[in-house]
Amino acid sequence: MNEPLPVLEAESLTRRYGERLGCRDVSLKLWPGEVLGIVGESGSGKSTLLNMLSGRMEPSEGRVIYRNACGTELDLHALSEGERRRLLRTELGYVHQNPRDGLRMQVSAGANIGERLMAAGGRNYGKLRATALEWLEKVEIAAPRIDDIPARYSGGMQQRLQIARNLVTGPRLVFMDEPTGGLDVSVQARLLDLLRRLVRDMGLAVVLVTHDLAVARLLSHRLMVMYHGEVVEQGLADQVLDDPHHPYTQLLVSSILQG
Amino acid sequence: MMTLQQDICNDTRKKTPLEGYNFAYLDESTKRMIRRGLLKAVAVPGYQVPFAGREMPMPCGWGTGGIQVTASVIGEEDVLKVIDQGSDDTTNAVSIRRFFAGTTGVETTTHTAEATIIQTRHRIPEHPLNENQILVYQVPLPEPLRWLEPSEKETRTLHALEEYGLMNVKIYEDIMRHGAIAMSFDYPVRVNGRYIMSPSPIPRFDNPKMHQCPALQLFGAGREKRLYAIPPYTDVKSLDFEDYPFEVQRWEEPCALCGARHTYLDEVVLDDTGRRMFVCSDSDACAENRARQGMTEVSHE
Amino acid sequence: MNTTNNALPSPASDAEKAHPAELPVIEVSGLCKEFILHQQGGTRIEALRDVSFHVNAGECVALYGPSGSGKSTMLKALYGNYLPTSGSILVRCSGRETDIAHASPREVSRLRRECISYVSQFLRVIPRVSTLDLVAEPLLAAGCKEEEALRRARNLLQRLNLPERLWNLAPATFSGGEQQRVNIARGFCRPTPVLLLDEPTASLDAMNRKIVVELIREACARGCAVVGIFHDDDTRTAVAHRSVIMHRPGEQGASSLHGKG
Repeated sequence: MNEPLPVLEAESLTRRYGERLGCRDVSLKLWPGEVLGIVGESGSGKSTLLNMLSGRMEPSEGRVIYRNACGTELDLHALSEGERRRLLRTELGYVHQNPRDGLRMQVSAGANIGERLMAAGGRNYGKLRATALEWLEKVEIAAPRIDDIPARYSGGMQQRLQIARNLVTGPRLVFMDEPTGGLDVSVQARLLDLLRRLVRDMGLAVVLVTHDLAVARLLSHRLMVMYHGEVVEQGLADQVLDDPHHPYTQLLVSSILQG
Repeated sequence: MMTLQQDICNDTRKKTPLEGYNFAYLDESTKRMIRRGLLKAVAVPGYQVPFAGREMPMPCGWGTGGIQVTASVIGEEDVLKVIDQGSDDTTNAVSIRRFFAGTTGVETTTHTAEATIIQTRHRIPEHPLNENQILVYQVPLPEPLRWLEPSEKETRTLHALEEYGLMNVKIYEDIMRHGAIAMSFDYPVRVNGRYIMSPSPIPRFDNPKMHQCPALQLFGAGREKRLYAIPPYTDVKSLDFEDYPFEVQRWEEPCALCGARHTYLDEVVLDDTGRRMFVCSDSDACAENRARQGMTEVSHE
Repeated sequence: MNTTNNALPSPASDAEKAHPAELPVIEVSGLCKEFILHQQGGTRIEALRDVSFHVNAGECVALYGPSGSGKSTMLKALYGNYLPTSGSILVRCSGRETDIAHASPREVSRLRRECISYVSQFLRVIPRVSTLDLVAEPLLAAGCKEEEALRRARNLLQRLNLPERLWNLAPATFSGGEQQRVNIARGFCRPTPVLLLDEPTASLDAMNRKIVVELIREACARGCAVVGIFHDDDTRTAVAHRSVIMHRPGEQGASSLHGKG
């Protein structure tokens, strides 16, 4: 059996904010179909890492390699802005914690889903609409809501719409920043189930940033624990959570799971 | 008191410019700065060139952008026509024509064919333009992407990277809400296969006239301080979808005055009972038509 | 250290007689596990000391011992859920030999996907997912077609006497016994070469216990290597070919008992 190559590789990523260190010497590999959870308290450097991995923030040191569908290695931070942005709206996705940051709130759900397709040259209203309807069904939003603006949606629906908007171009790698943050527990469960199914069916690779260990356990295959800008522990998700070794991970697990 | 018609007629002859003002009001270095901007605009068709717009002796919104462009390109031998919504005799057109007549002394006209520079607000004349003419548009909002993207930095990036998915989102929304592309004015176009451009609020009826037009088309936005241009014989394509192609407006009836069937018509309400008629918006083309058919001058009363 | 621990090589079991030339599917050697509790002043808890045993294809081995003797820790280490402090756990399947104690997370992931089924004591799943989907999930994850996965899930749930009206409900509100049966179905759904069972019959009635015994025997018959913790001696004697006796570390090392009972 031929081992597939990683879709994402980070080599010694470091980010400084002046004197302060946002993230230090993080390396990782992510394979197709794999969900990598990054956990840690706020300020631990998870968002900095996610921003560097997704090409949205220049690292002070290190590089990020994305391997595209043809197997070509692309240094995300060496690409021109145009190429990077094109990549971000075709083969990559980014799901924001707040759907308002990832959706166009003043245009209809259908147009939100269709935007990436139109950016890629889609110019057929009938086809755009058919695709939008298909995706609404996949994310469990009733078809008649296609013409509503997201402002009329509940928080959970907005988040599902944001996911559909990202996945419509069939990306290979999706970055998620606290995708279930700010949602009710019942709404969260539904979203988690949906994400799990989509990840499995599309063979997506996902970098998931979350401070919620329960979410990390249910969604991710592997976990990285960040503390003060460094990765202090990593491994299989259930192993890290059930048998934590680093003092910080133990603190995290004991305070959150029992709290 | 003179009527408007008399005023236009009396005003047309070439005469001595007002004393104490530079030719065409603006100083020469300002004109040179604007001409440099225009050269860049012509070199990159559809691209919005920022320029240091000056204060003009009239408020923004009255065509200060177009006036600065006209002032920069006008010479003593030019013949100027100014229209507002197709008409030579509305306030805006009259005051701009008077402004240039006073500050340059050039000959003015209402006839499209006679003019070398036509400054316009919201229309392209019905009479086909030629290579010796310059059409100057007054532009209120030069940015076609502003509708969905409030950030100037972002819209400029979108243009630079040719990321125009957003523009099509607007068209999608239009079809979704109205069952057809309902934008009837300021219908966005793609210039020379590259930049998406706002044609200023001309009716979409006029859009096809921009395509491969022999005349040079210059656009000036005074408040936003932007210049852009379409050089002669340039491809200008109105945006659309495969299954919702671009179409111009059509009317059931001909012009009530001249009988023309293929001109842009204005709806005129005649009385308090709601009677109305449709007449050519281009008053010069309408008058010409009537003259050709031997019709008598219709009173404006 | 203990010299009496595990009598390897052991006398051949029934299964070994059937496949004499084959190496054991699971081979645990000198396994130690120590927990360091940093939250409690760095207290060290020794859970496993120098445990060694092996499991052949088609053999069911019971981990047997008093509570605190490390049975659960051992089973979790076999699944890669706990990381041993030292020693090795070789798993041989699909032509590869992997040391779970030292394998990368990715290799353990692959092993779980391809080779190891695990029936835990408690069901830990997304609240909303239906029973049927839950049971089919390991099959889907391994690349089985949805239709086939659901067919097998239905068969198994039927066999375990879980009322059909519950199949489309999420098991959060089920009784302990019902949840346990969902968990068992989930574990047995996929015919893997290795099966790990953590008290699978704890909350089942006699009839369902009998069915689980049948399922375990069938797994062995098709060559599966089974390791289990069984809370009742009846089930253990009914299914286990051998028992590995576990002791609290410091008392005595693990040793192997042979034969049923």
